Amino acid sequence: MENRQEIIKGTSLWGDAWRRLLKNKLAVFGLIVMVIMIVAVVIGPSILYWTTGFTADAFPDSGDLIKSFPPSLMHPMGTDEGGRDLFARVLQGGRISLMVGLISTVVSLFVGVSYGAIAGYMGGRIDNLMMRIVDMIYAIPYILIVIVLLSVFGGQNTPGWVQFLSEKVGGAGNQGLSQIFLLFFALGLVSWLTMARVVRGQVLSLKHQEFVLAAKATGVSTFGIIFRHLVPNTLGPVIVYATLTVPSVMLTEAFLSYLGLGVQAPFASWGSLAADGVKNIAIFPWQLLFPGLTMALTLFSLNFLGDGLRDALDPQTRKF
Amino acid sequence: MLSFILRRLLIIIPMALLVITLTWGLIRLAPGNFYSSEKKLPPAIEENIKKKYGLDKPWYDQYGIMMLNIVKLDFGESLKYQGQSVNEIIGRHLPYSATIGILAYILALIIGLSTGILAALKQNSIWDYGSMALAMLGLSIPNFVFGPILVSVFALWLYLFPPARWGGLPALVLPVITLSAIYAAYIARLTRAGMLEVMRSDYIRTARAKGLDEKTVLLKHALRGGIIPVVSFTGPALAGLLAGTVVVERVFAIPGLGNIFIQSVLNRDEPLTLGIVAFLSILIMLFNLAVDISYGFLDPRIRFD
Amino acid sequence: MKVRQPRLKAIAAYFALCSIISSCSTSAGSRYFGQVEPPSKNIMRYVSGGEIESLDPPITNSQPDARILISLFDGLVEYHPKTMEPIPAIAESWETSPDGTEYLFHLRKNAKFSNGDPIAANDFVYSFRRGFTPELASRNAYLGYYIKYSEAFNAGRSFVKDPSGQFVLKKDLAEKKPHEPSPAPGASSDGSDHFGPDSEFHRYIDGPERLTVPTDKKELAAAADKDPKLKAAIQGKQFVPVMAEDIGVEAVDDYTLRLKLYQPAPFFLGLLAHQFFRVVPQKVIEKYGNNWTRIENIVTSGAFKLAVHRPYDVLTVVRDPNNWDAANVKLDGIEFYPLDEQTTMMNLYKAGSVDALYNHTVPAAWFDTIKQYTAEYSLQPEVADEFYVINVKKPPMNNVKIRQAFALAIDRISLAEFRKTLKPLIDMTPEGVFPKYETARDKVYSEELAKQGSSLADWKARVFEPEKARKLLSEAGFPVIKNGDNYSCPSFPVDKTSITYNTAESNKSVAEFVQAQWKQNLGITVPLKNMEFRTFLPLLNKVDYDGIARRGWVGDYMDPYTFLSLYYSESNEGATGWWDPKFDKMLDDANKTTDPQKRFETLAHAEFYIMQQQIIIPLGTNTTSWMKKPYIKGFYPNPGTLQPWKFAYIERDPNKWTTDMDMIMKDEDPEVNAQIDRLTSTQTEMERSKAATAVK
Repeated sequence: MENRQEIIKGTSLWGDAWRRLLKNKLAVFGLIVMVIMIVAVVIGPSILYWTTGFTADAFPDSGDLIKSFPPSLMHPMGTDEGGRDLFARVLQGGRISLMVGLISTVVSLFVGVSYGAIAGYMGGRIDNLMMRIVDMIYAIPYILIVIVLLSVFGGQNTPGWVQFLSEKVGGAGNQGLSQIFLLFFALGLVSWLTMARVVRGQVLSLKHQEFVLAAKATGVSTFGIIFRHLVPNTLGPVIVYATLTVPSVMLTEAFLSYLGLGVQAPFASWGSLAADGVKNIAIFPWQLLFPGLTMALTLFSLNFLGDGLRDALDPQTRKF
Repeated sequence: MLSFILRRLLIIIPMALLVITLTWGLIRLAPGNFYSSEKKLPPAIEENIKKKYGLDKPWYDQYGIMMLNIVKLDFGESLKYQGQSVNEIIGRHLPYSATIGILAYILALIIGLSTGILAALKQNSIWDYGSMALAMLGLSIPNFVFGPILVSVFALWLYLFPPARWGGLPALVLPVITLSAIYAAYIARLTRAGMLEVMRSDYIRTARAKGLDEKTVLLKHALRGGIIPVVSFTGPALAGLLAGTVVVERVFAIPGLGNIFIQSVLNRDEPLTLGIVAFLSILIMLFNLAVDISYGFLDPRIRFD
Repeated sequence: MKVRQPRLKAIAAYFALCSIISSCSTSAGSRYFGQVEPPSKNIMRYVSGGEIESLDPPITNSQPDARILISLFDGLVEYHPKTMEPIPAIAESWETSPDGTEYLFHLRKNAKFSNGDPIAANDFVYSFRRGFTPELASRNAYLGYYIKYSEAFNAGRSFVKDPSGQFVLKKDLAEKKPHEPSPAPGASSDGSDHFGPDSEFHRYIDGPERLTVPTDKKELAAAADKDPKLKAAIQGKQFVPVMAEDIGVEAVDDYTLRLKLYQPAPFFLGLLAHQFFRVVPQKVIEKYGNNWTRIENIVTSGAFKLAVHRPYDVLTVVRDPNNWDAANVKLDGIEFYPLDEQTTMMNLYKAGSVDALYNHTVPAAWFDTIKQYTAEYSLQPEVADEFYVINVKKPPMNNVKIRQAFALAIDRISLAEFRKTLKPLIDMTPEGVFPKYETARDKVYSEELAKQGSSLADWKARVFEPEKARKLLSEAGFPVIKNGDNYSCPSFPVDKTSITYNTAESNKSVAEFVQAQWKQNLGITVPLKNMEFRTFLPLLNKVDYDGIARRGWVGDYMDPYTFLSLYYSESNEGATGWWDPKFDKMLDDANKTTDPQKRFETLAHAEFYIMQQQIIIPLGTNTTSWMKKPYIKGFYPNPGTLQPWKFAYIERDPNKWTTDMDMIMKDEDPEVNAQIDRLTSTQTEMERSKAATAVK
């Protein structure tokens, strides 16, 4: 009996949230853009290839076409220095960028939230130890972690599941992609730290509040208190932080690409396209403009969506 | 409270040593060495180099000697820049990154806090949307794009500021703005979220109910609790800023610590990397300690166990 | 219709935006790129590349460091500002022994260090010996290994002496080969060739080469185990470590220096301009040890001396009044900016904050815009090229036909159009910097190709031959299938190959282009693997990469040998795993040839031989691609971008400014020419008088 009640309550909570989300125009805008973006990135490259024959990595045959052309009807975003269609490259780069952002953020959410919540609630020695470990990982330069990870697990030593994943996404013969998956992993490893600190801070300030004490008194297990009572109450800052993690991870990826540790050519990411484009800002501004705009639009939408989700998931907002 | 601070201060030393050990292990795991070049060196020369730097000894000897020296705060000489000690390099380049970093963070705090508070107070108004959209813009433009755009406009088109290099106040303007943009955006969003969270809480309602005027409620109560996320962000952010930011330093050719650190990792300049890591880790831990202490002042509900 | 109007407007606005963007980018500006205003002070501001590693000349081996060290230290010879050939510096003139293994340098008597101490032959002896000291661990020491016993000293080896006091000679151990070279001409029975003044040291160093063995007991035992002859030879012998005093450098008198090489090396003079061979102050180094390069201690020997050094910011040098040539040094000083971010330095250049940049600094993408500024931009061929090395040890690339197929399937003309700063190349040595060698090579190639029933024109077609490439690949057992416009080669093991390269924007675009070419012409998609430089190096040096790796080579001196010698000897630095004693012998024969044209022909035979093996895939000759403001004169786009600074000056009269960078290599700048003539006159005089005595 009790179980069924809980399920009904649960669905109505999410249904409520969904309805509230739909009322928020900016969030809906963000949602629509993200859906379009994901669809475009997933099926766009194939459609483009079918209709125009452009791919992200093929250079034109003729010598005079191998230069950067401004936007035109044929190339709505222009071409890069090699005469490759920038639109195709932006679509393909989106796959990598969105995946980097998504996977790393999910890792950071799961690891960071549980880690921070446990540390904050347990307090005392355990908290101390856990937070000192976070401090230490903070202090180790992440480039070093990335270099070691890529060199130790790259090449012939690539784990099977990484190869499997990269083949599924990039098609056979694209070993280059396995490095990207290692990169996701490495970025996830370093991006949960801030999340853990934020959640711990929130839990610290919440754990002495009445509802926690009440739960404790009624005999709810520690696990239950942490994940049922405390974590949902930290959702606001967590979602904001998660939406902030996506851009920062994307930027980190771009920075690593710039150092030669990131995405493998001929693949590109929005970050690496923008990094290439910025070198030619004075001469071929479209090489920066379009990847940059696409990336900015995505991050914009993600954040509006994040804000909307927070407002929708946190019923207290309505009271205000 | 005092014993809490003391305990945390004392634990920093073994932790820093642990971080150094881990980093050292990582450097040793990474392929390549500091002396290799595109031309393969004759084995005799490689041996001379190894002998000169004590790399011919077994690894535990090397580790032991290094740790002994580090305990004495001697990180040795850089491998890449011969005749320059690591301490000297850090001391020489820290002021550059610190100047830019602190200025940028002050600017970011001013912009971020004011827009964040404004947005929270006028939630769902045009002010809110406008400032948050602006903050979003700050977050969405990577600084390696933002910097060159500023340079193109203000240095190469209007010739208002020098395009790069250290020297004088005008040269600071563009890098400081570039660096502060993303921090200002972070702070604005964190402030807004934190303020909204706090303004809903019971103690603010109590304060209001007691009839305190809105200004006192805001500045004395709401702000104190609302900027907790900003404070916990400030610790690592400021430590990172002091240690330099690679992109801005490269774009504006500033001789800061960040670029030197990245180069040291890429050059496998072990003593320099370890020295900067040690410095940085102690800095981060000190700042985090400061953050934890300030929690107590900002939010009376937090207790130090 | 009304409903659609806003959308039309949006489209119109979009295209308006696009046209604005493109008009901005193609707008033909003024004659010059950015601000052109000579600096107020007589100080040139130059972007030199990465931060200098060390101010100690033998220590560092990077180009950026070399540029600065050239200004601070003088050597026996200096680079010619245009051709980079050696011209007299502290050595006023020199003589070469008939067998080409000995040099006598006559030093000028007014050369001084920056602290006023005179520079004499002994200072060079000290500097050279110091460079080879094992404790200094110089990475450049190999450059001087041509000097007799220098390698043995540097590697910590020992002579072997029998109890009677006789040293064991190398030839005692050598197998008698049918092609044993006859004793060098002019060498008499006592070993001395009587070249230059006689001395005890001279008789020793000219004597037959002694055997050297590792000093380290374990290493020696290992070497002896491998070679029974060596084991027998060292039985019961004494070992005398090779000392600094034993290497082939001698101060004959205060102003005469003698160098003795193992074997003739006609390019050796050119090598002497390298910073490794420049003179350093013994007293200061002995006083301060490792700290001698600190700004408060440093004493230099060049046209300029150190004034300011703020690492990663600026290094300033000022004219040294004590320098022997100070009267002809035109700049008051130079500011070197250690930058390696291309966009940043282009910005500084455009804003007029720097006067010149180092090579390859103009991004390829800017080429179409920058090339119109002919007064500032130079695109001269360099003594450097880019190529892919092939790991010939592993299948499938151990098959020469496959290697040739891959080499032929790249359209180098298109590649050059894409990269702009790369000139198509099909050989090992760069095109356009060794004109005399190229003439000899064309001749040799024609003969060789005629033997194969082919012609020089056929050879030149190798720049792109997709049809032939597909044929070769099919012959090698990997049939290329044509379907429609595309090709495929399903049986080729793609996973065993890759293009491995170290991260750089230029390497990336070339690799992407080549990958696309092979996909298009052979139907093979070779995966790309980029890695950070230090991760890449061990793979390259140990020949551990799969298939293909990117490599570039900058010549150490102006001679094709600097490119061919990469593949010399079993432990060669070619990074391909290829070695052939026949090739080694061809190179040795060439260097023993005294007639330069004949020598070039022998080298050309060697190059032809190695190109038949296709162990590398040539991509292109590099070009200078750097800019200087038109008011900087006496500063040329020479093949290595290593300019002697004393020729450079700032011209304040706009009428005399550079108008065409292509012309300044030929253009006569009377002032610079007079300066060069004055310097070279002593050597010309020496050669003339020698020729006169020879006739007598």
